[in-house]
Amino acid sequence: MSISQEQRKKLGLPQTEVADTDRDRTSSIERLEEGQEVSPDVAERLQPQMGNLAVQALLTRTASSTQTSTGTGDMELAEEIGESIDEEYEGGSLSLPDIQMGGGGGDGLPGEHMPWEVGFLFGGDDEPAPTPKRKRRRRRREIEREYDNDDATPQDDDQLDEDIKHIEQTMGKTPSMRKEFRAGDARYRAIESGLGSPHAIGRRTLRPEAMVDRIDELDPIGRATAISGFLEKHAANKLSRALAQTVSKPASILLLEATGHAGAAARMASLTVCAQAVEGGGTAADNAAQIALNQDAWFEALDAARVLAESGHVVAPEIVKTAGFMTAEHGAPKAETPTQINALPSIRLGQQALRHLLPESDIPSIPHIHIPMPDRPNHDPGVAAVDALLTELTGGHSPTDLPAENRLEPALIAPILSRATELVNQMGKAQVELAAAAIAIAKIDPDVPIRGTLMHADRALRDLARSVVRQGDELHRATGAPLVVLEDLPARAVDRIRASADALRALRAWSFTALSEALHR
Amino acid sequence: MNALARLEAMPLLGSSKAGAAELSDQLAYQVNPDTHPEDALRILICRFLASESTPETLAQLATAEAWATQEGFSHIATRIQLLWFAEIGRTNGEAVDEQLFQTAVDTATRLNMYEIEVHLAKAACISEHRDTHLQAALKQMSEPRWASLAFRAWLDLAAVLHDGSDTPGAEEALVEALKLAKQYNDPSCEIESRSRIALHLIDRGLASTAQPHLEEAQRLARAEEDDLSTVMLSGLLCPMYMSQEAWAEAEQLADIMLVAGARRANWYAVVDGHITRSTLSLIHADPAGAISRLVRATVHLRELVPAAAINILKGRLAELRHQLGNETFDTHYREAMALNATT
Repeated sequence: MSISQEQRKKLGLPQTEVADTDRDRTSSIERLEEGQEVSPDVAERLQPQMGNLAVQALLTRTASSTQTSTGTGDMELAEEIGESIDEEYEGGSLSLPDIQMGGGGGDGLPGEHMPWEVGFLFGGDDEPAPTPKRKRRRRRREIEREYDNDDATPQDDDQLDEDIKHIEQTMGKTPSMRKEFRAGDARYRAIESGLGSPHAIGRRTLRPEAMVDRIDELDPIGRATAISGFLEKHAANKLSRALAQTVSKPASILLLEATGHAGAAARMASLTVCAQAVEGGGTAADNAAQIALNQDAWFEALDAARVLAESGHVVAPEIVKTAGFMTAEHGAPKAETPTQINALPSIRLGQQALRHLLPESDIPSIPHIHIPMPDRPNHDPGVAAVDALLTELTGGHSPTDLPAENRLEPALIAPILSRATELVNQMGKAQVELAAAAIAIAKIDPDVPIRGTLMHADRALRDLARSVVRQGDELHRATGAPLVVLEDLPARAVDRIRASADALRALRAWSFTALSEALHR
Repeated sequence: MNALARLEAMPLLGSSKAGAAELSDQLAYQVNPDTHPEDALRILICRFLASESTPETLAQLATAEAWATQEGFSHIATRIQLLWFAEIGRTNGEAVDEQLFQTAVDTATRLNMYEIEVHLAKAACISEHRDTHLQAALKQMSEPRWASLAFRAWLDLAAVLHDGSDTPGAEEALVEALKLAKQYNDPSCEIESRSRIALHLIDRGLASTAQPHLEEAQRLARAEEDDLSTVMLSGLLCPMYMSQEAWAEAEQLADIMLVAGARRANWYAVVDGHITRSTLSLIHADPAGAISRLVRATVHLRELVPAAAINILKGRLAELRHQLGNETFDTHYREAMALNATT
């Protein structure tokens, strides 16, 4: 989906030239010629087709053309860029081309890239930032397999497969609870995922020391400690926090050998439900706890984003779709009821759950631009005369020379451009975060209406990214220009980038609130 | 002293809390808000302080603040803002508008009023020096009218000190909260402070020191028919009794968990009660009774409780089969199944 001329006009963006109109209609990377100047707007328009990597490559081209126009570009480099772009989109490689632009450095070949990373947008740092390592997907315990196959061979000597089979055969399968009985504390269902099979519950022994590291959220005891771990950090009620802290460790007194592993599981589950009940919020708060434990959602979103990075379109709605989940639309306006005041605590808990689920956000702070003032002569004429003489004698300007023109040196804007690149990266990451949040919600209830939120957030993120790229490019193009000519352009561009960073923070917060609020609809 | 001043001087803990709520309701009917808006606003503040803080009461407070601003009572509006910040900052810091908060603090400073409220609001909304602000507020809260806010401040101070690894300080703060609860004879606050003390001690590995607090809190919770606290405290106490071989006490608590757990629909507490009773039967050399209890619970609770709770009972039966041996277990198990089939 590309931005139309009409949208461009509404957004106050510069119109593309008439000669480019036909080409814009079918804009694609193949139509761009080597050495051709590509504006950030065109880059943005192509971005949905190809993902953020495309923006990087196109802006690299922009930078190269800027260099050419200032007499520093070279044809070999332009050819190299052209080749690398072709490789990138035709071959589907995630590796970035080996390009050094506008005073930037780095080898451009980091070991592993996140799907949202754009590399060097405006020249970059001398030292490339360390590439974040991808977390390995945590392998679930054997329990998960046991759920799928009751006849599975026991993997753990501690399990009582034969005895469980005997009980299951004589008692019959456990029926589900009737919906009409889901009242009171039975609304807190998050704990149930860890207690889905008697195979995981009945054990030969209860060794308290083995419980300390029991953090698997699908383990009967691990589930209780995981929920409590979340409440310990994020519950609003202090008693709930204190109880959750005791359960999350878990305190040794709770793990009594006499009542066995099953007894410990019951006690931990009971106290976890108590902690949830003390916090309150019913089903919505319970959904929040379930979301917080859905750690896989992030990795599913990340995997889907990697797939999309190869083909393009790394945006939240597409990531969710690629991960195999559907998001529901908002209902008809009449069907929507305004959020009740008493839902606010559980909405807050939902926000916390989404944050708990996702890696920590690292939206960069954009520094102010520092324009050095020209040296002024000393107020004492005698000292000033001596200074001038010393300057001349040590190879400086003669007092009769005109003062050097103050220009926008690359060093002045390098930190800003570096942060702007990081900001665009974070915007791409926000797309994956939103998708992960949507996946976590869809796993709990696929009918929660969140598609609208995703669409709005996606659009806003793209607008923000476009704004940052445009301002960054303006700054980059202005490199070397006299400050007198530029007037307040550098400060204005930096202010706008800073505003975009603030907007990203606000957008993240709004999106999480909106997604959490949707659980109440 | 007029009725409104008397209301403002009442401690909002224990029995006088209900009295204050009653008096504020009476005064609310007597005072005409059109002719005496300031009095009406003061009553609203008292009602807020005397009631549980909920999203609804906080919304009412915000409405009162808008009214106070409209009437030009900037001092009352500032106090309401500070109380709102003190409450909302404790639970949802992100909802605090920093600029508005700073304005309220500045106004209070300019008016040279509400020092306690400023400290409480700062402790709730600013992440640095929370303990200092709470301690500063508590120093000035010796009058009975501050009892309710002081109780909460002690609990908050305990949490702050605990987070700062000052465990003895946290315990002292909790003990101070307990003293206040006892002084004003407020069972609900006593249950809360004793529970917090007990959990704090359990975390430090001092379960035996925690036990008297748990016992007293559990007794009060039962007397108050506070099932949630009863279930929670019984769930903590029962394993302590079991480990001390205090079988009679453990049995009594298991029975309490069966009843209170069922009333709350906390079926895991019910299952815990059944497993405890079954284990006690086993300890008393009654394997048939141990198996029979679990079988009866499994059969009778089917479909009424979450499948997860039934799975725990089945898991426990499997554990008993392993423990007792197939032959012994199966004999008693068949008998229990037959008995349940006939009944």
